[in-house]
Amino acid sequence: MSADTSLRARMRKLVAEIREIDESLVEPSSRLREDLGMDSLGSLELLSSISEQMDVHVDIEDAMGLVTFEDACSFVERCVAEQRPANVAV
Amino acid sequence: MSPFDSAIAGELRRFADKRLDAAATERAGLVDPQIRADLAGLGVFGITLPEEHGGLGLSLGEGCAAVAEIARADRSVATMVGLHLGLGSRALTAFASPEVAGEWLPRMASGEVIGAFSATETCAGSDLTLMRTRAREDSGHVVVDGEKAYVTNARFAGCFTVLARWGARGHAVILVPSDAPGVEIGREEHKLGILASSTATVTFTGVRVPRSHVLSEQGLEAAHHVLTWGRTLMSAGCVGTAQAALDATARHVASRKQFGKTLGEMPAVRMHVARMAAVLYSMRAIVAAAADAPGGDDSMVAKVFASEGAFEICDTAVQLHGALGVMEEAGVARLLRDCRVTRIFEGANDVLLSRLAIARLASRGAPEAREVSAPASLVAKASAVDELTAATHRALHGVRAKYGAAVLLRQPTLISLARAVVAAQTAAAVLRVATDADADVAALAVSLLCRQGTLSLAALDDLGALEAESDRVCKGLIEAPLRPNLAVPQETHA
Repeated sequence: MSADTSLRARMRKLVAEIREIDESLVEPSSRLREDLGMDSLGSLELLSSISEQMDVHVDIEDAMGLVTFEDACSFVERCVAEQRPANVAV
Repeated sequence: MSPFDSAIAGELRRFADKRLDAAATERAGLVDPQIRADLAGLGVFGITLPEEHGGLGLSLGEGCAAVAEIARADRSVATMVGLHLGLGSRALTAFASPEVAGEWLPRMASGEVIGAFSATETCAGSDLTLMRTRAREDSGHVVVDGEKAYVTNARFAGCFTVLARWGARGHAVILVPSDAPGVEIGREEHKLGILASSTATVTFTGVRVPRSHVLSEQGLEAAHHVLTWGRTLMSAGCVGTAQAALDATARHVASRKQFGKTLGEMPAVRMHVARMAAVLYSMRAIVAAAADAPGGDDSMVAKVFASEGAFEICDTAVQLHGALGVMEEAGVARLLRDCRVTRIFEGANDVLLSRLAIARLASRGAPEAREVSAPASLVAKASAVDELTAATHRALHGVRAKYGAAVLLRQPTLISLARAVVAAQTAAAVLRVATDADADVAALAVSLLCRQGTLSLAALDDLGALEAESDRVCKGLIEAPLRPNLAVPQETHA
């Protein structure tokens, strides 16, 4: 599994867990708020979990502008690329 | 002028003094229908509803004043009214089509129909995203299925504002008449307080309502809006309860003699009573601020501060009444019981504090400066509030930089930060309403709030160590395997 697929799979799983929905409902174009029913707290919960799991710093202010699931994935990818600590396994 | 000094407040104070008897209401178990009819006659159920639909069209602040005056005499009655004006009718006022609003709001304004809000479920309390109740479209109608728990006003209600899952992933707010086939009201819950308010489970089984009864398809956002009203009105109820506790305590300490003097002459008692008055003053100020700006986060600040302030004031009232305080006939025990739930419902305080901190951490830049024109006698206090506000902002910035989004996993940090925000915001609200005439109580209020805020910020320094120690204790308590027998072993005798 590529690093990219692994990240998206982990994020999809997390969204499904947070929202208690089937993973198949989480699509790249899904809007975090309107489609996935994630309020600002839910979106931050997702990113904080990713932040902890991958040991990357996710800036709250930047994270608040994310609209879709794909936005969130790309955002975390950028964070990982910019910081990439030694112990990160993507 | 504070909304608490409005004409409607004066009228309801006279009504409450004459007609409300909290002990009798509590014994009866549910609010007397005649009381409800009398309140309807005064226009109470339409205070904040639009004039075009038969309401009085008054402000949320005046609604708060009304609820506070009723709560001063009877919190169960105030809960019925406050719930109706906030959670029970706000979604209709804000989101209903002209046709649906025209059909329902006049009946609600007259008191013929009482409103209730159904969001909580046994598995979805503070986290509403976990709810199971669903609604689906079916041939121009909407069908609702699910079970809502702890519904306030359930037995009085003519309609329910129901929050339900909608489609694959969304939520909707739906108006459901209580007499629609498939609506079933469960038995009354046995509670700690507000015994004469109605609290029950409501089951919706294949309930069909017209499509126009979907008030909003952005259900969580709509619920958030409705909750800002509900929390503000509930906080006003806390003001009324706390006022009753302070009144009773002031009377008691003025007359009760021990060791050759009245309790009211004793320095420790005087500090307790003064603190009660100052906390109550702060509660009024932050509730007025929340009512002035219903869309902001003042409603969360007001809810947390007022619910905790009321509980502290009622607890002190019980303490200063001595043994009489725990006797039901003194009345302060009931006040303490009645206000306990307010730290839980409409958002448990720890959850609201976490959300408040997150909202502040997520907002860009410094909070907007608020114009505060403190009376001349409070200029020094205004400087202290500025310092607390600046220190809180620095702490928010430091936590944001240190943890980023991972701060969500540090709830104790969020709560300590939010407590500083609550103190600073409430202190600023005090300065906005303070006058030279009440400068003494306002000064004490600001002193207490600044002290509280400073302590909350200082707590951030050693929170990590406390959290680690707490975690070790909980490992033995919460995460240990369930043991079949925790009883102390019997001694064996030879």
